[in-house]
Amino acid sequence: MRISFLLHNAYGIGGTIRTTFTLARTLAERHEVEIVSVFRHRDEPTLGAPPGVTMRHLVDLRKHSSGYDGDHPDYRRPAKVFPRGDGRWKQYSKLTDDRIAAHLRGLEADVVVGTRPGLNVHIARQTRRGPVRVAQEHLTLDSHGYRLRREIGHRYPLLDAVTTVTEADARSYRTRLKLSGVTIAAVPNSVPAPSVPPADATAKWVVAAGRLTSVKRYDLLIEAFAKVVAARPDWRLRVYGSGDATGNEKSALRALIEERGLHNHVFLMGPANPLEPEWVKGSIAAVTSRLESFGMTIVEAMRCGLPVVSTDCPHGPREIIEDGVDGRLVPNGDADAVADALLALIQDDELRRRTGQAALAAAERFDPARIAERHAALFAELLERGEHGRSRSRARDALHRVRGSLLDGLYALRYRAADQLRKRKAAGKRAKGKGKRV
Amino acid sequence: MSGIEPAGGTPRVDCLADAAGAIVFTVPATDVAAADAAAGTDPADTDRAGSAPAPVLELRRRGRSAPGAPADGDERDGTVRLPLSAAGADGRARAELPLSVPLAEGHWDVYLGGRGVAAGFRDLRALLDRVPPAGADGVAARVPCPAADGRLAVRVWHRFPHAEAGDLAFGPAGCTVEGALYGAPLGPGAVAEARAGDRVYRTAAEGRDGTFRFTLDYRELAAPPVTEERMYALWLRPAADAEPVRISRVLDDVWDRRGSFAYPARRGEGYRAVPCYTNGNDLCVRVTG
Repeated sequence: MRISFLLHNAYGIGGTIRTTFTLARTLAERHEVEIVSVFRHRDEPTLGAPPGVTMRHLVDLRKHSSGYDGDHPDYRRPAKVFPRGDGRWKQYSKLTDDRIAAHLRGLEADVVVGTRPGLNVHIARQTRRGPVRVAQEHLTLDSHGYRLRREIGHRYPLLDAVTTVTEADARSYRTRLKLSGVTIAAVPNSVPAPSVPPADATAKWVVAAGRLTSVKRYDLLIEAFAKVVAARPDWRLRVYGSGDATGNEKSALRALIEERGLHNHVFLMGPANPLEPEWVKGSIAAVTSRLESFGMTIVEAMRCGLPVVSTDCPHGPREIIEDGVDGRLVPNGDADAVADALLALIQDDELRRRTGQAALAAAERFDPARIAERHAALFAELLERGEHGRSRSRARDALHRVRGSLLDGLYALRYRAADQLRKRKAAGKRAKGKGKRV
Repeated sequence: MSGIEPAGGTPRVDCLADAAGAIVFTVPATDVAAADAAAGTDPADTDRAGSAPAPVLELRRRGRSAPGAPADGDERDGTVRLPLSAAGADGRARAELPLSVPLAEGHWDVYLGGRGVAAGFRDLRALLDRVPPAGADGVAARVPCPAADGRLAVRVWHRFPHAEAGDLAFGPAGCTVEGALYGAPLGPGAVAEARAGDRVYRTAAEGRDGTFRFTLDYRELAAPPVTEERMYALWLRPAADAEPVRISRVLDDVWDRRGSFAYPARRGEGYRAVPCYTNGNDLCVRVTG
């Protein structure tokens, strides 16, 4: 198969980029794979180009480059095809609209894969007849604002498939939207086998990792760890991850560590890349988020042989951890429950060792080879159905396009009205969040 | 092919530390061969017999090998060559740095074929909560770490005796430091010293079985009144007639703990005091007005 990924920016750092690189690299072992990056601002991808994968870009933002597009007049004109509800809308433009359209119209591939809602909308609207159209959802449907969900509801029927990273999110797509005829499949993210041997359950350290933001609820973990230290002062906690731009969360966590007298036991280590050598310095991993679209860190820790104590938050953790077998799930937001689950593993060396080994074995299902195989099987199935066998008939497409253009007109009116309203509301106050509300 | 090749072609060197303090470096055999070929074109790098030299990984002490720097007497003091093994089944050549190879305290940069190498995986789990072997040569700690530009370096400490800082406890107007002392017994007249410029403040240190403990009174550190920042370096004098030993924390995998080891600050009349570590992991107390 010839598979073409459409990515916002293959040259930056982020979960979607990392996941797409891993998938593309693995698929490239058997298929012809390209990654088309809408933007390019660096000569080399920060995360390292995936071997065997062809890299292309549509808009060049490297100032030293002869193909620099930043001065193009259309680069300053707002995007009309890329939906406003996508948080990246401001980075898109008439130039991206046109370049993406030209790319999709001339696409030489069997399968085209979008990696964020805005790009999936492009694929739905502009891909030439022929290639299988697949939209990947790396977050969740309910993390999107109303405006984007509406857009998804109206545009995605022109796709062949939507893949989510959890079954829970696949259910949302099936039940909350009318995407009849569109295949909706949950395929989890993959995590490669670590390059270091697994942890051996002897180190008296608990490890957590992820950006220091409020959704990760590290405050809950620190509260829980105060209880752990009271019972087992020989155990300590390392939290890896950089602070957010404001640094507020990091300061708040420092203050909490001080307030609880945990300065000898809890350490904010800063960012670490790669993380595997840091995971294996611990014997237990902790995730106390109130929300995890997937739960990449859980899988990473399990692949390093650590049992994970995680809150049973939406959406991913309960699809990764089997409670009491290869880790622990505790009620969302319950510091005591986190502490008790940690202590149960701390107090029982054999339980900790056994659970870690179970985690190591269970996490093999997230190996890139297996995950890529699931994607490839889905692509092949859709391809085999052929254009006529696929749900989208020519007539249905045409109908959708007509409906779509009518809706475009209605939306335009509605958004203009909403914008006016918002501008008035925001007169004194800066609007917070991005497109969460219309 | 319009594919992009991985950046630069800088060899990536992985490290594995063991509990005895040795470090094993592994290098892709292809990079060793490439470095060899490059070195072969430079007559200065072939030995007197004219045959190609055995491949080595070089450690150069930072600040000693700068081009144009004056010769430092004994050149070997600034460069250590570690022979690289033939490639193993994993396609990687190995070089070992045992504790028996002495390295002066400081930063040592890692070179292959005259070029710096990228820091790869550093499996340093064995360094956590390390208890150094009891020896007559003092305590050596070596932590492979990335330099600011991502190149591999080794941060080296060598102390004899060595005072390892441990937990800190805080009272209303002071701080109690606990730690372990290696290479000297704690005897009568043992004191801790806090030094800032000419200012020296002493307090009794106690301890047994290789541990020490003392309490700093911040009011003393803040007298006379603080007009500008005072950074007190902490030293331990194990006995009345013994040389003082710098108190540091080096027996783990953290080569720079300024960002991760944060301690509560105390405010008193006319001062604010907080313990901290230097970029060399030496323990200090910063007193400001």
